[in-house]
Amino acid sequence: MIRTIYEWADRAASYIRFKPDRPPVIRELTQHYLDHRDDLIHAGTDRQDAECAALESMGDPDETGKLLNRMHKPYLGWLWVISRWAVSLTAFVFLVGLFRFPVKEAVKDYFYGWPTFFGEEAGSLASKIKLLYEGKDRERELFRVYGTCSQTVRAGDYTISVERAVWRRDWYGDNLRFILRAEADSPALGCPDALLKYLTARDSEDNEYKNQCVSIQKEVRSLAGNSFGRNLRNWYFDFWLDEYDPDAEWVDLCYDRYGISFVLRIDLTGDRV
Amino acid sequence: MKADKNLLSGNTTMLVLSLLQDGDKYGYEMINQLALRSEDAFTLKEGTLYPILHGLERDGCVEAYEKETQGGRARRYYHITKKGRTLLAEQTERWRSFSGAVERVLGERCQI
Repeated sequence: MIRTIYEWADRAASYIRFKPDRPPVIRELTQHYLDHRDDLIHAGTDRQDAECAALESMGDPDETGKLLNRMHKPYLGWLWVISRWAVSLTAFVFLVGLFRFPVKEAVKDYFYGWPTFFGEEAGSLASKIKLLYEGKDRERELFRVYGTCSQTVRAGDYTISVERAVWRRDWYGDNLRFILRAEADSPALGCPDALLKYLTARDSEDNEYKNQCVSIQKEVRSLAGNSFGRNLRNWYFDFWLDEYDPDAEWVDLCYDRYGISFVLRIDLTGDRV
Repeated sequence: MKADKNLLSGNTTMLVLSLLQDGDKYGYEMINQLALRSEDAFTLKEGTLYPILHGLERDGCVEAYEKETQGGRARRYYHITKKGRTLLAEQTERWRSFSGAVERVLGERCQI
C-alpha cells in the first residue's frame, strides 16, 4: 500500500521509460501534493487527515504513470539530448579548431593555396614554390640564374604562363627547373595533364629536350615533370630539364598536339647568383 | 458532480488551454480554477492533467518554467504559446459549432 507521496510519485514515474525525465516529473507531482495538503491544513483539516486526503486525490499512480509515459517518449527524448550534445560538440571543435588551426591555413591546404578570387597570391603553394626554388640544396649549388618569361599563351581553354624558372649548377651538372601555370577558363575544367606528356623544349644552342613520358629510351637531354598543385582555376606543373646546356641563352617550351600549339620562351641571360 | 467522462474527453485539452489564456498557472492552481469556473461541474484528476500538460509541452503548445516558492521549492508554471492559442481557437470553434448544432436539435424538439 502506498503510504507517502514519495512512493506514489516514484511509482508513477517508474513507468516513464525515458529516465532523464523522471526527476522533474517526480518534483512536479510532489509539489502538487504538498500544495493540496497545505491548502487543506489551511482550511482547518488536521495534518494527518490532510495528508491522507491529498494523497488519495492524486489518484491511481499506475494509470497516471502509463499516461505520462506516452508523453515522454524515449525516441524524442534521446534525440533531443543527442542533438544538444552534437551542437555543443560541434561548437567546441569549431572553436578549438579556430584557435589552433587558423581557418585561412586550412582553406589554403585544401585548395593548395588561397583562392585567387580573394585577390591574394596562392598561400601554401607560394611557400612550396619558395621552398623548392629558393630553399633546398643550396649547399651543393655553385650558382643559379633566375629565368624570366613575361609571355602568356592560349592553349584551348587554358592560359599558360611560366610562374618561376631557375637554372642551377651544382656538382652534378646543370639543370633547369620551372613551374608552368595553366589557368583554366572555369573551375569546372579538369587538369590539363596533356602538358605533362607532350611538352618539349629546345634551346638557343639547338638542343632538343624530349619529353621523358613519351620517349622510352633515356635521352641524354630530356624534360620531365609532374603535377604540382591546384588553386581553383590554376593548375601548376613542376618541370625540370636535366643536362641543360649552360651556353644556352634561352629555352623555348613547345607544345603541339591536336591543333593546339604554343611556344613559350624562358630567358636565361640573367645574373649568376 | 463529476461530469461524464465521455463528454470531457477530447475537450479536456481545450479546457486546459483556456485556463492558461489569462495567465501562467501551475498544475494545482489549474485544477482549482477549473472547479471554480465550472462551478464544480468538472473536477480534473491530477492523473489526467499532468499527462495533458506534458503532451502539450512536447507539442509546443505550452512552455514550462520553474519558479521558486516561499518554501524554497520549485513550482512548475505553464505558459500558453502562439501555437497553443491557435489550437485553442480551433478547438473552441469546433466545440461551438458542435454545441450550437445540439442546441438547435434540442430547441426544435422543445417546440413540439
